[in-house]
Amino acid sequence: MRIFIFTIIALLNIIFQSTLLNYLPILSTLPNISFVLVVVYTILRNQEEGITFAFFIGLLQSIVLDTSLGFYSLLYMATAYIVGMTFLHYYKKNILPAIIDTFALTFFYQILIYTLEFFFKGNVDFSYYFFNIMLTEGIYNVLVVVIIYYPIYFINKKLELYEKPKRNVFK
Amino acid sequence: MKRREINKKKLNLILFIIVFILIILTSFFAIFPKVFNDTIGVVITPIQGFFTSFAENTSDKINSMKDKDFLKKEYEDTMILNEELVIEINRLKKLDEENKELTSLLDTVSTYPELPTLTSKIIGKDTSNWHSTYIIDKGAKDGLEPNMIVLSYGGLFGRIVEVSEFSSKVVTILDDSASISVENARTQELALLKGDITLMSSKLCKIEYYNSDADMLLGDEIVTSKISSIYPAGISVGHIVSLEDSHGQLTQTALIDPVVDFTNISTVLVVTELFTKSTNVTTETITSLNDVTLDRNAGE
Repeated sequence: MRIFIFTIIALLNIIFQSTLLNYLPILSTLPNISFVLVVVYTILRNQEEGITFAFFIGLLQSIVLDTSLGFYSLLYMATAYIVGMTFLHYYKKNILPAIIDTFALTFFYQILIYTLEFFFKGNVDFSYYFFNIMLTEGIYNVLVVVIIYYPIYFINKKLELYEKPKRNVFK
Repeated sequence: MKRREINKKKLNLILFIIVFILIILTSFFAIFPKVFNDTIGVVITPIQGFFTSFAENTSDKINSMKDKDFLKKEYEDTMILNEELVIEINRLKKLDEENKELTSLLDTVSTYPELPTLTSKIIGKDTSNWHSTYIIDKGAKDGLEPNMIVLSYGGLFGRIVEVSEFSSKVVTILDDSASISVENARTQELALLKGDITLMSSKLCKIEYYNSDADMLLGDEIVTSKISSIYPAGISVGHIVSLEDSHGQLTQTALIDPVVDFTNISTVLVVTELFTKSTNVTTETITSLNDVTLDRNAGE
């Protein structure tokens, strides 16, 4: 059930991201909803499940939008790994860990993209990329987190209630 | 409980290994498994098409309400322009016939061939802020292949990099990886067009003249060159809008404004013919070149 629902969410997200999102740019920058979904899912569940989710959503994004496979998977898996180590003892209802993680890790994955894809091609003007791409996307991603955190939180809560009778605590 | 956790960690390790294998296979050896794209494309491509046309219709309606008067005036202007163009076309048709006759007399192949095209709709766009990649709704079943070129509004839009059964990915001339051999239509001096990520948001691109004292002026038309290995010659790319001071540099740079309006685009034309030339220099040409140099040396 969980797998089914989150597959649907990932597919819808990819479709939305590749079509309608293009009409909503702020300062000609667009948010990365798949990345935000990975952060939120990892915070709501745990590191291991976050990494698995990151693998599949990254692969989906590579297939639909990118020209090589696996690059986004790796970035999102690294993101989920770091998110899984932060804010372990917070209430899940608190949105603040998700906001902080999203804002900080947007820079992490953007700097990875920059160094791996653009730095060695001779684009060395880091301050331009920092202020025009990374900072604006970080702020936009935070806006997206504020919008989608509670819907995902409630879906997850419903799913946990549904899974509760099946779970064997004494295993 | 403990056993399950260990299993999950093992699963993650396996996933990491799969990712590394995929990255190595697809980026270093450029093998992109079409199977993935085809299976997911069956589900996603029609939905993408639906969403994009929906968004287009809505934005069109909003815009048409906004500038009705402007459109009316533009319509009248266009009608006048249309009449002028019809006269111009008739004149050009005659010129074309005459040109064909003369070329047949000269027995040479035309440098500006007529391009067979296929209209295609844009159904998606990469949103990563680092690339300028579009998805179009025609694929291998319509006979598209990688390295086919894509036009729009009479100018160069980009080229196809990847084809699946129902859709294809197009990298535009604004993308940072774009690098196209072009020439100045007025002086025929060669230059290199480079997409630049810092100019991507303002929809401009950069050209580099090999010659540091090349003759260029604002408004010069830039077209694809005859030596390009993918693009046919003479396709309009854009006009020079700004010249950069190249004092003390080996090459000159200028900014060009593409003919294609990248902010407002929904349909493109795919040229369904490959222009890829073989870059192998045959042994004959090498020997003939050697002969020439030998002759020259002997002469001296």
